[in-house]
Amino acid sequence: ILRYIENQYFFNILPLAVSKNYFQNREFSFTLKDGIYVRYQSFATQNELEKEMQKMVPYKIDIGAVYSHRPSQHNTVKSGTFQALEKELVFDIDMTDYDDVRRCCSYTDCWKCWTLMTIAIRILDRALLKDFGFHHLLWVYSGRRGLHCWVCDDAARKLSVVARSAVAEYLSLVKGGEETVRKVVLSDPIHPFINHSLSVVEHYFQQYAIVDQDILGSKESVDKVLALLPEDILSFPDEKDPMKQWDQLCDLVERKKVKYFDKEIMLQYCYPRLDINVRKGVNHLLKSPFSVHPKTGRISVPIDLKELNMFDPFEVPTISLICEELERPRADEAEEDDMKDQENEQEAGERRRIRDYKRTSLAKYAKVFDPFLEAMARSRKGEMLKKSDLQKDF
Amino acid sequence: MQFLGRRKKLIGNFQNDLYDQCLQFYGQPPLENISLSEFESFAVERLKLLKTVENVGVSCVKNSERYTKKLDAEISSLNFPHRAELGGISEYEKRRKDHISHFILRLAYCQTEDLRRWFIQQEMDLFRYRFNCLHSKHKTDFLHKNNLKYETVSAEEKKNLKDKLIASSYGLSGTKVEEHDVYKVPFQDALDLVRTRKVYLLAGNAYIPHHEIVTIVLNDFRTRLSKALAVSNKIGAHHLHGEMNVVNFKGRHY
Repeated sequence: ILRYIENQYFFNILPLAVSKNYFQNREFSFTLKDGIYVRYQSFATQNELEKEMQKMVPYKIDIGAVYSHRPSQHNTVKSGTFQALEKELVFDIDMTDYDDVRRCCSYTDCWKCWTLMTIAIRILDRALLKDFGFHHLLWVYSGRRGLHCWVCDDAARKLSVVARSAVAEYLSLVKGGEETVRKVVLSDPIHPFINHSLSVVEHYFQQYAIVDQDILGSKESVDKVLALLPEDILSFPDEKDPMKQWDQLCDLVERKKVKYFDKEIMLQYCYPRLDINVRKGVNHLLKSPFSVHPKTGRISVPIDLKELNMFDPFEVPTISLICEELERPRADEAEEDDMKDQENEQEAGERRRIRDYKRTSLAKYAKVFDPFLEAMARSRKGEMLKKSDLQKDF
Repeated sequence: MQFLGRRKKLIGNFQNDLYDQCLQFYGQPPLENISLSEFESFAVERLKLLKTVENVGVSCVKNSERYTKKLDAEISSLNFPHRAELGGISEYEKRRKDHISHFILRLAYCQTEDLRRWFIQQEMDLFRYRFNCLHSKHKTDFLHKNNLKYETVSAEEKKNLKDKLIASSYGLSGTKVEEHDVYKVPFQDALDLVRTRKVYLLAGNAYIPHHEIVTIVLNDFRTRLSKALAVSNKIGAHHLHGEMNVVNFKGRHY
């Protein structure tokens, strides 16, 4: 079974790893069968990585930073000189961070709260592209109840720890831990970023919060909402229909001129909560795309933003499904096999692997991944041409 | 002899370029030889100036009329470059003095944390004052000459973004946007404003109103000066420790 993981992984992920320059100085970590975690793995070529994967059969592979020296030799390097040089900017969004505002499930998966992830993608994707000017973003389903965002631009890889933290702060609106009741506070003037975010949240709020999460459905949850309102609003307008209740509440807020309380509530219930990990900066490792989630068996697949509203985490293929699909007879390809017999073994092996994953449900996710890689390759070509142009001037 | 003559000319040209602006970041140390008396008088006068900067900063509100008047007067009387972009020999001399005296004081003030802190604070206040006195065009020239990729935003773009700019920056009104410059800066150079979301971001650039650009430039100035002092300290300002001049003026500081 695991052999198949490697094959898919090898084909899909390696181009990504290689396209992030300086492959031999890139840190990987393996999580092995017994939970053993091995850091500072590095490889000179893709082949080396593949061989090691086949040998150690890791359950999980994480990707870390590009260092100044080969990570596997970090112990031989003079202390203080082994340093992380570059690392993609990553965001990690986890459903558990929303526990205080969700009622649908605790530690099981359900479909009602996935909207939160949709909202997160819409808000953060827009901001990273339009506000920060990044181009190469990859959104990956974490395999269970969250998302990862990989920002792979050169500029992003070179961001300092301070800069990463500033970006994360800019994108944060929900602040405070358990002790904080009112986690979102808005005041004039409202920054354009907040306005954009509000329009996304408003689009989903009624269906998600009022209907699916039913936040006005029980005394307990109503009290939670009331706790976010100014003290003189002691109860919700008397109305059977929760949608109407909410509308009337918004009117009340406007009439009383207690600005923004309704917007703050919407943001507190829906706005993306970024995991603190992004602040850990350059040393941190994140699970590689296309790896398998240990608890659910689902593959961490890239998410197609064009079909975002239709993404269903429960339809993401599991490793057992993939293996099943691979076991199916490949009668139709026997002919091709014969033809290609003359080619060298490695190419044939690769071709087989290509055919392999295309026969599985992973094919459609690879279709999201490929354009992403192509775009990065194009932009790197552009950069190199620019550089060589400059050099030609001399 | 010919060789010497040419060398002098070269240096002269280089320094002409160096002194074509009233204000500088003090990136290049002076290359000429000067007399011991010039060395002393330059240093003493700059020290006087910095002390005035300190006193005036304490006794008046920074950038108030009183502050401006007092500092203007001191700068003039000590013959340091003033706000006016006058050409000519006397201006050149003032700028040369500004340049050389700064570097002399660096040597004296790099040696302990306390001295460095004091020196950096006063130099920053002086820099801020002089930067604010520059005309808008000279400000942009200064930024470009020092490789700070800060472009001013065109009037048309300002108009298109006016509402967004007002909504993002504290204390910015419609008239201010129209009348004053707005600068476009890579967001990595404006992290404090980004972190607190006090600036408008578009395509990786922060749109910074005039009154905030000084903060950004000052941060840059402080970073450069800090680094330079650390280097001076390492390299061997201590070699001068025995020298009379330096000991003398440290004495005068206290």
